[in-house]
Amino acid sequence: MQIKLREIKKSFKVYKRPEGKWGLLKGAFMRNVTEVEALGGIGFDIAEGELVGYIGPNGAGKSTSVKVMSGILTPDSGECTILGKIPWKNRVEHVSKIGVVFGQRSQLWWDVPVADSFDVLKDIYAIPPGDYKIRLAELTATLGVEALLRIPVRQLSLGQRMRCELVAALLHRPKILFLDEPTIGLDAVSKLALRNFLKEENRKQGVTMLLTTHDMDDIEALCERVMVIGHGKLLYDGKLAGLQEKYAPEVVMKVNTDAMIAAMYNDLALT
Amino acid sequence: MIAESKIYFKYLRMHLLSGMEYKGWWLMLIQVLIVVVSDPIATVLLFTRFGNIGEWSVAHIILVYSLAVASFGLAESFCRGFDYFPWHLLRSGDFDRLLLRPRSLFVQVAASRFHLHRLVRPITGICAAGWALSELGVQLTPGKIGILFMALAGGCIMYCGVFVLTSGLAFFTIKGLDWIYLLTNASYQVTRCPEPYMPRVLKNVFSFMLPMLFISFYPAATVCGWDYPAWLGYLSLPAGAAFLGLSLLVWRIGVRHYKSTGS
Amino acid sequence: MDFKNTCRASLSLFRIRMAEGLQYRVSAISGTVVGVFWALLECVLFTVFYTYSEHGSWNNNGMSLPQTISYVWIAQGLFVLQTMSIDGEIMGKINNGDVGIELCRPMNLYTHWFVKSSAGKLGTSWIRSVATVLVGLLMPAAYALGAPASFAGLLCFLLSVIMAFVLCSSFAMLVTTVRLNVTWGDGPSHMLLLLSGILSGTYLPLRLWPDFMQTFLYLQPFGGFADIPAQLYIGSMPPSAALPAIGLQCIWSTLFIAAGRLIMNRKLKNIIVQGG
Repeated sequence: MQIKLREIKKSFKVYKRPEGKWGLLKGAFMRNVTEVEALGGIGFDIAEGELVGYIGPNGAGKSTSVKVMSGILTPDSGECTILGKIPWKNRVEHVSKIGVVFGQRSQLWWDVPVADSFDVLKDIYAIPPGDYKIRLAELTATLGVEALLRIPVRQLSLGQRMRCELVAALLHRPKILFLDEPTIGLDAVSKLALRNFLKEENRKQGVTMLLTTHDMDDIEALCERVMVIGHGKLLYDGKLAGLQEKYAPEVVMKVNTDAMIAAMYNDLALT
Repeated sequence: MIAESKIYFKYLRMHLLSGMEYKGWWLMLIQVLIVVVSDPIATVLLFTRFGNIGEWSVAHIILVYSLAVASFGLAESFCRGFDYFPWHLLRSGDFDRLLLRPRSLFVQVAASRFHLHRLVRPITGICAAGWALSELGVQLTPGKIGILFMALAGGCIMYCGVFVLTSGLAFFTIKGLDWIYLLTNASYQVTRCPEPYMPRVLKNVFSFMLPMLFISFYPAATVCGWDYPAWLGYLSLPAGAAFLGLSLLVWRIGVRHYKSTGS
Repeated sequence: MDFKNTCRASLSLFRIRMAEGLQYRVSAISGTVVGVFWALLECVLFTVFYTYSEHGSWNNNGMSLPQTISYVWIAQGLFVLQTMSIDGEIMGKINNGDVGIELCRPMNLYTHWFVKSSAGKLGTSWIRSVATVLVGLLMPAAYALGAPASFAGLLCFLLSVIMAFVLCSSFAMLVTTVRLNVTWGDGPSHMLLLLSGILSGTYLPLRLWPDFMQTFLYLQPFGGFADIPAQLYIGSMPPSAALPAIGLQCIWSTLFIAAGRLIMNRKLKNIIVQGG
């Protein structure tokens, strides 16, 4: 198993100000500390080349567990091995094998052309020049961003930027890719393009992907397997179809709205 | 190590490129120049009104002061990222991104900001030191230049230490970090006071807690042949390095704390 | 009616900011520590200059050492009233172009911002100010803030502090309106703030500047930030001279407000014309 989590627990301290009329003043001298459990003993396995959807309400512990798996958060207890190693033990080694995409946050430099950002990433990940060229050409061609390379990031649209983010995350050929709401705020056409790309990349390169999202169409289009998390626990792990049978058997058919809208945009030549 | 410094300069290049994208940066240059010139104005005016203090003339003070200011400016130029760290990197959550990159955190944070106009401070500082030396009639030999160079390097390292310390503490609390101002902009004001007249407490604090005197006053004394043991002037590098070392310890503990609380 | 509402809105803004000031006590403590350190350093310096320098004993333009030390403490206490940077919230609005939205409020924009920024300033800084002055009073005799020169002097001082607050606020607003010219960037407003800081007397008591500059220093607006109140306190400016000095503060406040309103109105017209 490429990713293996066992009984991972993590809780955070939250400081609260006393309530009431004098709460402000009281708060100056004492504070109430409460422990909030973000992960209550979560565990699962993901095999190489899987594309797993990771869903759950806000605050369920999704990003906490992604942080644990990417090695930037040390859990209170539990076991976690990724690619055979413990992620938070050797940060540098671990993070050079994974890629992370945040839908809401950019890893590109805002004011310089995209190509310059890629160039820095080449050095950060110590990618050999030959391999870098091949990989860059390949990624830019499949995502259709060759024309954007000379434009500063701040002038790109969100869809264009997101595609460049994907290039940035995959340049160093990571074995595992974590995607945190990659399609948030994108229009239908960009969404579809992104999904197609991820599917292809997963199939061709065998990159393991863990996709966090609130967009169920993403899950439906991409993931064989879904994991549902709530209150820091794994509530469901299996096929999406199984989820439907269990909770909403009466829902028979669903129109794929994204595809519909995208077809309309294409028809009207809006893109 | 070589790879890390290559990354560092790559980052600087990026900042320069992005800086050029905005117009009006030369206005900033003038602005910093005004800051730098207005900084010692109180000292100069005091000397013009009150005259010398014993054998201490304005040139003596300016020499010590400019060494301190120049090293502060150097640190501010090359470790600018740490200066911004608590407020811009940590709060915004961008620090996670740095953790996700397979490179030394120190280099990444240090190079996360760079402003060319900050170099105005060290440059004017060095020029002022040159003026003071010629005013005092000091002949510069290679040895003396070496001492001054070490003083600047040691001072730069020490102030980098201050910034690293601030960032390390910021992992625990960000409120009330204003007192760190004592170690940055307020600290070099100490050098405005001639050392023999400095109260003992002040002298001790700024020799042993923040080795301010070791990177400014004692090197100046050795170079000019004032009546102090000459070896004190050579301690700038070790003193600065010791301070940075302790700060890095705090920084490490801070990073570990961050990794276990994630906030 | 409109005036009444404005007053009520202003009062509640002040109350909120005061409460906020209480909340950030750690920040206030740490700010006080810096202020006290700074003041002590100045005290040491002045003591050295007054005691050991060639002309220290006579060429002090009518300010004795104890007076100067009191001056330093008062100036440190008043220093927090001065604007170091434009109010963060307003700055954000200028940068992301939300100024247009602000225009939709049923309050005059200048008045609204004036109250907002001055309330923000006072709310977060009054603790620091009072604490610094208190520490100054408790210092050992050589470095202590002395008693005011006379009772009349104290009254004039208090009056002048209030005017100093108004003056600082109106100047801060002028700087803010200058900043409305987004294309200029931070440069001009920063330089204005810097200049005001230097000429306010916090760097060096204005009386100790060269003699030929004294008339200019008296008439320029920024002395009203700290120098005039401090001098009234220590008595180097007698109560009889208080009226013209406070009058000067009033005149400059009026001029700053008028200039601020003028620039703002012109600028807003442009915004409307551009439709953004």
